[in-house]
Amino acid sequence: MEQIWNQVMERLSNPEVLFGLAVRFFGVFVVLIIVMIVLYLTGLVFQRIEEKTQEAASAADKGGPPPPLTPTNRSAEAVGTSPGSDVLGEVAAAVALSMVPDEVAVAVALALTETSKERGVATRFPAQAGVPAAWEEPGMAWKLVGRQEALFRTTSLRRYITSKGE
Amino acid sequence: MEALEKLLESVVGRLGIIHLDWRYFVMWMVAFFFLYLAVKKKYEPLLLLPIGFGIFLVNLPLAPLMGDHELFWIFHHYGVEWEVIPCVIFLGLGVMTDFGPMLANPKSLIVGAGAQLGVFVTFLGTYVCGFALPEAASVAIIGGADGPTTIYLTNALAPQLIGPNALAAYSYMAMVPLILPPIIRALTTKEERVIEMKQLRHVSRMEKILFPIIGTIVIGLMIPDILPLLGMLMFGNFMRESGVVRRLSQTAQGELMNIVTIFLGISVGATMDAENFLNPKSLLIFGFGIFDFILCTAGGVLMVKLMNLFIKEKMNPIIGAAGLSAVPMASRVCQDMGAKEKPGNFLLMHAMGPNVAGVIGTAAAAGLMIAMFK
Repeated sequence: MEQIWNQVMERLSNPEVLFGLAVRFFGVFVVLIIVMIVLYLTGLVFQRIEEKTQEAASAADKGGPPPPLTPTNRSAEAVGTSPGSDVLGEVAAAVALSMVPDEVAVAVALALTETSKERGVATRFPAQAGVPAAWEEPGMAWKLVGRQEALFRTTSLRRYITSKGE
Repeated sequence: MEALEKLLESVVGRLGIIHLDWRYFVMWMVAFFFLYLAVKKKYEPLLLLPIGFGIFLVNLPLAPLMGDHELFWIFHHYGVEWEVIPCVIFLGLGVMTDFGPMLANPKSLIVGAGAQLGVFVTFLGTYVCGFALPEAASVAIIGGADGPTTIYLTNALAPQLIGPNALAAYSYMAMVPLILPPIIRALTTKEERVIEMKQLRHVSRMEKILFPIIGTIVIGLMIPDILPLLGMLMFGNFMRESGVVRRLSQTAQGELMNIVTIFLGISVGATMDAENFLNPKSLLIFGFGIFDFILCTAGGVLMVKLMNLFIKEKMNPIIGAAGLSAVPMASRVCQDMGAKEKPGNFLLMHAMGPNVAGVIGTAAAAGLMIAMFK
């Protein structure tokens, strides 16, 4: 027992061990604290930039407030959407039809795609043979487009969108 | 007649069953235990299954697998000894990791550093118990709960311990859901565990893109020894955040990660033959491993409690336990525990900060160890 104790004490009395250990332990803190400070500073810069961008955007919008995003208790007829109306209109129509957020996204995407097709406008994701478009990537909400299209056709939303078309 | 005897001898001598002894049976039990954990309990099956099967295969007598230029030797030599696989795994990890929660709350880096407490205490303990300094360092890093870092450091400092070290690291990582909760409960009060944290700020895309570059510069300039690991982590993350190499990102986190995981698992398992494993050192490593995990978890929790004494917006100490790397399992455990203590308290994103900080902290600790002993 005494022999083991002596061996332990001998090992612990090695200055390289205890000093080295302390240096390494605090070394980790020093490194990570420096990273933390750098991240704080970077974060501050980006937050400032974001605030300025928002201020500029709000100053530009002072001319007229945007229409409400989620009108409640409004019928779809009252919304009055058309291929020429903006995205908010499509959202309002979809919300009025009580569609869940994913369905809203898909409905709007589909409406805009169809409108752009009808008008011969180039789409954002031009199709290439054999190459999946970005919205077809796994995990994208728009991946549901096939299923949602069937749903979309069964709702009256399409009527509102295309009734005033060319 | 003599020729026939010689022929019989050579045939019988090549029968594996003749060479069986009790040690092989013990190692089969070890292998089956890991296979059981993987298949039945579903603990880290992606790693424990290939590791368990690797152990099983190399513990069949006369198996031509780990001799010079034999199949598993080749996997191990070019994958692990050449330090390729851990770095490639870090590449995949970088692609899969969202550093956003850490960028939104850089304080979590301090929690990640606090969770390295066990690494240093275990280092001292193993050294006192008779391990050489480089060996002690390689055993201590197990508590960082980061498999690739453990393999990388062990290979650099004490390659003879790579089997038990890697196995201890991955088996305890698999048991994170069992290890963390009792320690958290023991070190915190009910009031502390129900603390609700403020929602994290939005982190812009540009910030996320710049982090891998800034992080690499800062850490790389201070601990260049860890750049092969950390550099790949940051490279992977840069691919993810830039968003312009979707195909590469998907490959790195998908097929490539799966391929190297198979080779890593089988290579680690293959190092566990009876001679290497059945000795007091391996048992000590397993003992120190669990001690290390407990101390690292406690270090993270206590660090949050210490920080709470000085900061205005209190942090829930449960998230300190996520300072143990084990991404994202440790965060999930914290989330589950927080939700149990107070339904509706979502800690997942808050815990992801210390969790990814723990990866960086463990890598930093490993880099400092390598710098001192290599």
